[in-house]
Parts: sequence; C-alpha cells; structure tokens
Amino acid sequence: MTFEDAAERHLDDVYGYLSWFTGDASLAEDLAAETFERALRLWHRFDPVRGSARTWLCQLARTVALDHFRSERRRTRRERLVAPPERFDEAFGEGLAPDLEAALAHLSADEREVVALRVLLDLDAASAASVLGISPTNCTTRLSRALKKLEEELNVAA
Amino acid sequence: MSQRDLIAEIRAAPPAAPAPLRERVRAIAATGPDEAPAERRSPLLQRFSGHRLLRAAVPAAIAAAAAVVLSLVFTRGHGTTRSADSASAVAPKLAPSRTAGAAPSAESAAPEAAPLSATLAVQVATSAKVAAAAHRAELIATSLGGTATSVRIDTGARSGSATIVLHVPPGRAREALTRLVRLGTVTSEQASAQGGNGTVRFSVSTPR
Repeated sequence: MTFEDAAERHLDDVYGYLSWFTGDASLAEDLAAETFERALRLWHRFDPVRGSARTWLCQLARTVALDHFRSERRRTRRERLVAPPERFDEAFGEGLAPDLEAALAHLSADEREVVALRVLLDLDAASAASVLGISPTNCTTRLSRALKKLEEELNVAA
Repeated sequence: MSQRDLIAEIRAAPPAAPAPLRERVRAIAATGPDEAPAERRSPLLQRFSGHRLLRAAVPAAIAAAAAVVLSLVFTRGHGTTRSADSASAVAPKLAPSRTAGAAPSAESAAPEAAPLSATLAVQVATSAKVAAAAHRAELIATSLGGTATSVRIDTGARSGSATIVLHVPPGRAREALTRLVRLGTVTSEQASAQGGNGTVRFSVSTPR
C-alpha cells in the first residue's frame, strides 16, 4: 500500500476518531492534517507486519492530539488564561440524534475515544488497545463502562 | 435505548472529513513516497521485526563480545599486537560516487564514521512537487539538527527546479542523504569523505 492509498482510505477514520476524542470538529480538522504530515515523514517506519495502516495512523493521531493538548496547557498556563470550555456542537457527525450527542458530551475524553475506536471505526480490542496504549482487557472494560454510561444518560433524558 | 441500538445509531452517522481537509491531505500525500514501506525492508527484517530481532541480536552480540575478549587474551599470551591499520581496514568504505537513477544502497543506511559532503539530484513529476520536495529537504535538515543555508526555488506552471544547500552535523550527512533520496527519482548522487563537513547540495527538478 502506498502512502497516498493509506491517506485516501483512512482519512475519514482518522478525522472521525479525532472529532470524538477532542469533541471539536475544527480542531480535529487541523489535527488530522498534522497527523498526515507527520505520517508522511514517518511512513518509512510503518511496519504492516505489526498492525494495519489504520491502527498506525490512529496511534499517530492520538500522539498528535496529546502533543497539542500538552502545548495548549503550557500556553494557557503561561498566559494565565482559563481554558475555553469544550465545544460539542456538530462534533460527532452531522447525522447523530441530538439526545445522543448530548449524552456523548457527558463522557470523558478517554471514554469517547474508546467508543470511537471500537464502535465507530470497528477496530478489534487488540488494535484499539494498541492505539490507546492499554491492555485489551482494559480496553473492553473501558468500552463497556462508556456504553453503560451512554445508555444511562439516554434513559435519563428519555 | 439498548446498547445494541446505541451502537447501530453511532455507526449510522460516521463523521466524514470535510472537503477542504480532504484536499489538504491529498496535497500532503502527493508529495509522499510512492513505494510501500514493506518493499523497502529486507525480508530478514520483515521476518525478525521488533522484539524478535532484539531477542536474536542480544545473544549474538554477547557471543561476539566474548569472542573478542577471548581472542585478545589469546593474542596477548602469544605476544602479538593489533595495529590501528587493521581496524581501519575493516571499517566501511564510502562510495565515491553514484549516478543515473541508482537506488540507495544499504551502505547509505549504515552509520558513517567520517564526515561527508554530498551532492544529490532528484527528479519529480510536477512543479508542485518541486516546491514540496524543497520544503521537505529543509525539514529533513532541521530535524537532523542542521539548517538550509541557501534555498533557490524556480517553479512555473509545468516545470520547475530548486537547489538547496543543507548543512547538517557532519556525522549525520549520510542519514540526510538516505532521507533525501526518497523525495524523488535519483538522477545523480556524489558523496565524498575527503574534506567532508556535512554539506549536502540537493537539487530537484521536473523532467525536461
């Protein structure tokens, strides 16, 4: 697979994962572009034997997002500004029901990203766990907790 | 709503990348390497990747170190010495020059012992790729702790060329070359260890 193929095939996945992880569509857009720029530089390190291009790109996307949040935290601390509240408008896909979107906003970033990887991108437990840097068991537990929380939020709303 | 319905609803509305982002990523990908990473890797490395390679390499290194120690003890016992020349005789020699589209050799990936100066010319398909390759050459120099001391880019609608003089730390010139050759099809390459100071003159152009 060439880099161009991988970029074309997995752009939606990377963008979707970042949208859910960050809860901010426009930030996800910038981070996705940064992810592919970094992926291009590191493409020679991608090893298909160790995992799919999609998993590798999601791992890279996560690193890019975490780097961004770290530098943002440093910047806001330096400027003594209060971080703006997270925005959730149209962050998780345009076709999502409003009550589901509201329920998603109650999940933590950790919970949102595990739902994104396991449900939205349909990655298996081992691949999602390798993206998150946790064990597959831990990943499954986190997913189950997140789905239960979502279900409860939706039942309360109903 | 049950978890099954929840999962179905989430999967029914996957976020799609907006058109401007898609364009941006396509432009990034267009400057990229055409070959698959697996094709660049030797079959041995594919077979023994990561921890497996480490597991094979560590005992081999220990065995080699033990052999060296034993041979030193043995030769001292017999009153013989090793000259510095014999050590340099087995050091990897630098290829003086390569031309006309030669693929990067395994040598260029090896750590270099001596400072190096090099001239490299590559060809890319479009003038947009010329500018992108020039930009990436600068990034390569920066990422290796060096700089681009001179950049000249001349691109038109259909053709273009660029020449960049990069200065990288002398010990990293070979690494710079290994990464620069991936930016296009190599048309000529010259490397010299004599008076080498880590200067790489990189030029990129479209076919005439």
